[in-house]
Amino acid sequence: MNARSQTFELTVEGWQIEEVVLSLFHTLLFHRTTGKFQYKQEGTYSIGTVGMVEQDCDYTDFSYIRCESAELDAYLRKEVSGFRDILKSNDGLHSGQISLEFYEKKKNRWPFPDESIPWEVWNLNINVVTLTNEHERQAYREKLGELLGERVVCIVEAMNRHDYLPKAPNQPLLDTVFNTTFTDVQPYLFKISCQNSGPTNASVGTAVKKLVRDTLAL
Amino acid sequence: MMGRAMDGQQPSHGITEKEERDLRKFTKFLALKAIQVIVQSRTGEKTNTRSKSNTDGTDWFNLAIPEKATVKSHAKKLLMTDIPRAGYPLNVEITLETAEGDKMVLESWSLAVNDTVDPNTKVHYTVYNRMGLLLKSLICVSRVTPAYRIARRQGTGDYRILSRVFFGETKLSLLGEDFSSVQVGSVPTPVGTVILNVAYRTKLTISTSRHISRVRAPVPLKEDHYSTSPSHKGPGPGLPVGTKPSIGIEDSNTTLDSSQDYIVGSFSTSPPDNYAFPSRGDQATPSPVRGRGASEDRLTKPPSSSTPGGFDLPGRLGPFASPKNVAGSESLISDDIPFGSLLQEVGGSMADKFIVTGNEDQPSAQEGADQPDWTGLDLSQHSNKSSLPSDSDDFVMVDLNPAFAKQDTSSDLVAFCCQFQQAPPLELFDHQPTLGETLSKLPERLAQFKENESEFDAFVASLQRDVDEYSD
Repeated sequence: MNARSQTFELTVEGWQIEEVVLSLFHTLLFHRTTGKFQYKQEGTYSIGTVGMVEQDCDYTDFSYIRCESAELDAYLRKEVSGFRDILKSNDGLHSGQISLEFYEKKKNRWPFPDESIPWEVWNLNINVVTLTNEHERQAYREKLGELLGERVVCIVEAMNRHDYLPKAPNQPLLDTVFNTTFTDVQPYLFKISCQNSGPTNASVGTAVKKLVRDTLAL
Repeated sequence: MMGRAMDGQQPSHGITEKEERDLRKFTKFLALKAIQVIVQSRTGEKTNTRSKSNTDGTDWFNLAIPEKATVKSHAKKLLMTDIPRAGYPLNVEITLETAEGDKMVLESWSLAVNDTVDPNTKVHYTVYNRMGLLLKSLICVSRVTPAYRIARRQGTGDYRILSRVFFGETKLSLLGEDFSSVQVGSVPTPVGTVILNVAYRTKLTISTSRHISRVRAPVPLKEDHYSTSPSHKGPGPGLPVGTKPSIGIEDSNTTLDSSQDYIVGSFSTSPPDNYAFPSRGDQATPSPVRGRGASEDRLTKPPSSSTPGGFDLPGRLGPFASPKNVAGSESLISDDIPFGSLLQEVGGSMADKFIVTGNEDQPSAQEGADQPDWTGLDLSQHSNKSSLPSDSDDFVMVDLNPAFAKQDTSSDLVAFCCQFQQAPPLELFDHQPTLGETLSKLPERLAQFKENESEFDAFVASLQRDVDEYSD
């Protein structure tokens, strides 16, 4: 199955990396998260409620909505701060790509490992710049807010095309579609990966990487 | 078409009557939740709701959307008889109202239905989930349009955001030139496609004659500085949320002319602003939302010096200042005398001017409009005699801002400071005999001095003796 993918490119200052990535990834995950499935009897279940938090950015004139889930937020922050550290630690490297990939698992027979099949990939190319003065910084703070707003509209448009979404499975297979590790919400299975080199075609790149990794695992 | 299908009793479009009924219910609740999301996003307050892993089934679309009771009751009333259908969209109009009463429509949200059907869509699973997704998109998009930033900056008292909900044609012309529009999302159903759009203004400037006249004023004066009448209160904390009669949802296509069809999205948290605009003097009752007509009147009528207390008069008088070159008045003291104006005051009402008095005669309504009301420092007598000629208009009024006091000249602390900063009243001025009384008492006083002549002589002699002793 071919995963659909979309790439955004943004230019930011060093201290804006984290909140810019978080604002877009949280917006994506807000759309791709359901309430927790609570199974009662055979075949019946109830779906929990997704709360929301309105988050203001510190270094950008922008606010976004995220799921009210401290666990999900912490997980995301950890991944994104790793990406930020990579960008900051490498001298001369002022760009990188971070990807949010939604996937589903296909269980294979022993001894073969489960197969991860991506169905939606969002790539974010980040270019880091240093502005010369506070005036520029203030102007770009506002400009970046507008740019993020445009990206959110792009995300919303994509979400409402009603493309393929994995179907909710039966209870035994729930973790092949949803991430069931969070106690309060239930996002679709996702993973975050980052590259500190130039941007590549993520869907192909990750597929090749996966092929190599799976081969080595054997 | 959804309207026909939903109004009819016979199953159509290959769905059962129950599905049809449920679809109508879903659409109704989608509209209810959408109204809540939009209106609340323009209150300037941040939203924060909890996720619940165990639900009691009361949260529609599995989303924790807080509900404001006032919005809910009016939205329910509106949707009781009808729901969005083809050619009959539900609109939420967001309007900015300035402190002066000028209005500008910022954006218009529209929940519409078109004739495109998707017969294969399952009502109970797919449509419901997609409506939830549409609401999530609405929640996100409502935070990125320009009106969101404007709404978040409410609270200074300069403006506030109003919401209006109605069925009917979307009035895009109110958004000015070059407005933008975004389709938030759509949900295909077996009887039509539900579409949520937003159109928003991109030109966010208001130009009025008032601003031009204000530029001409030599000294910028805050319009509500001369607070006089409590009946002119503007938006402020004195206006409790939810108690204002400005909330209303109309079920018909109405115009902006009605001042009663707005949901007040937010009230400012600034101190109460007491407007002293004479053009609002005809408003008998306080109202947080003023009609457009009044606003336009103020815009079209140029400020005139004949207007009592006009807020943008170039030569507005400060406290302690009398009009320069008052027509028909005569100068009692030559202008050549230094500080002559002060001497005038002695002959006139200077004593009255600085005396802290109790509740004495209040100035008349007309004078009240002309003169600032000094709460705690009663200058009523000064007001009564303000027509005395004076060149004292070079006094500069300085705001009294006591430490820890609110920026409100009517507060108790300010009044206290005002009282104790002034000189205490001299008893001498309490009763001054008239000339006749003085003359009638004069012989009596002379006779008294004659009787005591020997004492005075002795006193003078004693002084003379002391001088002689020291000189020796």
